[in-house]
Amino acid sequence: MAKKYSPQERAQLSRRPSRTKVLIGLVAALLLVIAMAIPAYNFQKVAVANARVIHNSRMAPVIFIPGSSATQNRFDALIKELNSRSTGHSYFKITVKTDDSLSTTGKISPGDNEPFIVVGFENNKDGYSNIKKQARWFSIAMTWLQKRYRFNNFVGIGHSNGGLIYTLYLEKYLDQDDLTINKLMTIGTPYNLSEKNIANRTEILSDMIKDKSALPKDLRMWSIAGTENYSDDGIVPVESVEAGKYVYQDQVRQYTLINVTGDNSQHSDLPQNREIVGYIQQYMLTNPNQNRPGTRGNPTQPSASSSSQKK
Amino acid sequence: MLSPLENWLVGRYMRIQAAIRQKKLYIAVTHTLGSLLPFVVIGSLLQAVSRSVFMANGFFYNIYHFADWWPGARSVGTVMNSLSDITINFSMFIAAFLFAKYLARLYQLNDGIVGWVALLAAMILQVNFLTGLNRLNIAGSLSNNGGGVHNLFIGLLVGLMATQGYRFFSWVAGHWQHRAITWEEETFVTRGLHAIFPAGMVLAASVGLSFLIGLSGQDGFAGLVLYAIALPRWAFSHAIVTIMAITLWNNILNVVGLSGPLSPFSQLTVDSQQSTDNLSAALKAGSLSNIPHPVTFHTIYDVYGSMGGNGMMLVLVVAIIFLSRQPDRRRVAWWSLFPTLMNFNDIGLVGFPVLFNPIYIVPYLLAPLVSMFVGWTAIRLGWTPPVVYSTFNTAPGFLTAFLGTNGSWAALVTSVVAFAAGLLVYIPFIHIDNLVWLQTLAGTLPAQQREEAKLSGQEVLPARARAAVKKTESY
Repeated sequence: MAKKYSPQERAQLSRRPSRTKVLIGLVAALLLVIAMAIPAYNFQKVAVANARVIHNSRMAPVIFIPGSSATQNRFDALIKELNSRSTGHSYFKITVKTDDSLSTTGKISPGDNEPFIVVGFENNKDGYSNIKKQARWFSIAMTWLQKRYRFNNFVGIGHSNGGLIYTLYLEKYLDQDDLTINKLMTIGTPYNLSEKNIANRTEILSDMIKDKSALPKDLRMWSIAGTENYSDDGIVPVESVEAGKYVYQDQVRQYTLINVTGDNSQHSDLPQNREIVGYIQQYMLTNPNQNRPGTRGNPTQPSASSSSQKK
Repeated sequence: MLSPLENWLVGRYMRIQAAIRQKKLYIAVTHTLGSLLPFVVIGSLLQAVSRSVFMANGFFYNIYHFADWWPGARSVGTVMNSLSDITINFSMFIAAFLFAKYLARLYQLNDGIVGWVALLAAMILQVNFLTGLNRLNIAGSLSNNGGGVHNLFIGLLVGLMATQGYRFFSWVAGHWQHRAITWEEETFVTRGLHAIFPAGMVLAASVGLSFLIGLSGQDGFAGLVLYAIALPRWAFSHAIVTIMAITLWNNILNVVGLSGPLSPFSQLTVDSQQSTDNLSAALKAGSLSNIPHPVTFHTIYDVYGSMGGNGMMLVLVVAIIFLSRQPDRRRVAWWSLFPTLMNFNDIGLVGFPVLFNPIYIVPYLLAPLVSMFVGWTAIRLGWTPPVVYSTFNTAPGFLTAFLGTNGSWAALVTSVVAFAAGLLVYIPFIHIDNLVWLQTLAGTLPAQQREEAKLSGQEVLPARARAAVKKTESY
């Protein structure tokens, strides 16, 4: 031993831990454990309950947003057409009021994995400032829907300015940890508003391009342009629809631009265009016939399309 | 006071101790662990606090809903975690330095130079020359297999090789010198000059070795060693015998300072097909009565075999706080209490120590097996449901079963029984430790620490006749 201890030191060093201290320690430890166990227990109860709901709900709704000046009833004809080709999709409509409150019509039947939901807005006016407001209103509706129906993924379809609302929602409001958008289709969406010349970028387009990195990387995206003549669908210039590539191309997993001509290719008729209904059925629906398998339609291949696939 | 079994163990232990205490290697290892302790305590506390309080999947972060009232909490956690990277996860390099330094003192070499040679050699061995020098693997090797002190053995090995290499090359160099240098002829630079050849040769040898390691395609020396001891994937079946055997193998690696396949922080045990099936079945049925795979690594090892990290360290920490007569041990136990509660067992491994300590190696290997047996019996007989739901890996070990079964009281009772079983294994060894300590205090142990005295300073340098600085020298 290098060091010799004095008897006092030895007594000091060999002392037993005192019994009262041990008792106090035990009681304190027990209290601490309870302080940990009770909140942990509550947390776990909630976590397991949520996990059950999510595990057992395989719902992936198709959520529609109408364009400006259109109400929640905008897609009635489209959905009638879709439901005539397939069966079992419930139809549910929400209108977001200007004071952030919601009113609903229709209901989602239990066991429906792919309901159609339309989100309309009381203030459905055109213009960037209104579109920004509508994107926020849409996020309110989504939060409410998600809380109520407990889905964690969905498919989006936006007509006209509805596509702009979707883009702003995806860039600004979507929490990708919480909710996944699998596919998005925009129909006649004017990414550059009514501007024909792509060199003149409108404020909304430059804003969307600025925030494009926030778009979900796994999204598959279709943009459909209608053309009555060689330049527009009567309202939206085809160049403006094509400008969507500056936002989506090389940002999302897949960006496909489809040009539709012929009957019903006027801007407001696009949702009723048989070709477009076919694309929706083919690309957007996972369960074309939920209750009646084997009767899926076979739409023709895109006539004029440019596609960019990101590896 | 001691049971016959304990008496027999004391006799065994005294003999082992008498034998190894004289060994230079053992002395250097104990001193290395002692000097490593402050870094491990700091790093481990940082790790435990950051991972449990400030990170998204942390126990306290979630149960006290930290995100709600402190939105910036996660960035604090990131900073703290990086700080822990350069303390505790650096322990492999610190160990190489310290071990070489203490060995060099015992061999009467210049400890500063040898220590640095070993540290540089350890870093060189982590560099992969084939992928280019811009890709240093030092950072990667730090967090290898959970980081912490679990790659300490590699640091010790490098320290030993560097020291012995340095000794050898010094000896070779000695043959070139016509006569021994006397201290009167020595100047400040003499020892530096003498170190050039052996230090250069050791570093050159490490470069060569590192190149060969690079050919193997592994991440430096640490990666190669871990690759060599890794078990093949097929070995991991979910039979109780396999679970026990792999846990034992893992803990054997632990006590010499290597990381094994298991850790409460590796996802290996959780991410199995069986666990997924179990979770699916439980979520679907809403109860734990019909689980397809009641016995898996997750339900047995994670829950009942690793409270407070590998080796049921939480049991040892609690037992030492209440039973140890040695104040230093109790102090270390208090320091390690919080990290061990969060399943980081590094302070205990280095501080008591468990590493290379013949007293605590045995219960470290035995206690998890006994506790796992308790858990397995209860599950097999249907007394307690297996753990299915995901929990936090920073949750206190004895609560994991309770939380992972969504609040089954049977599981909580089983955990407490498993904890108590681990305690029963550890207590005799703490008694032995106490006895050894009391004998040390009384001075009744043989003069076993003669070698250790060399490290205290006086005997390292031969006594000099004159002042250490010569007046005639001019710089």
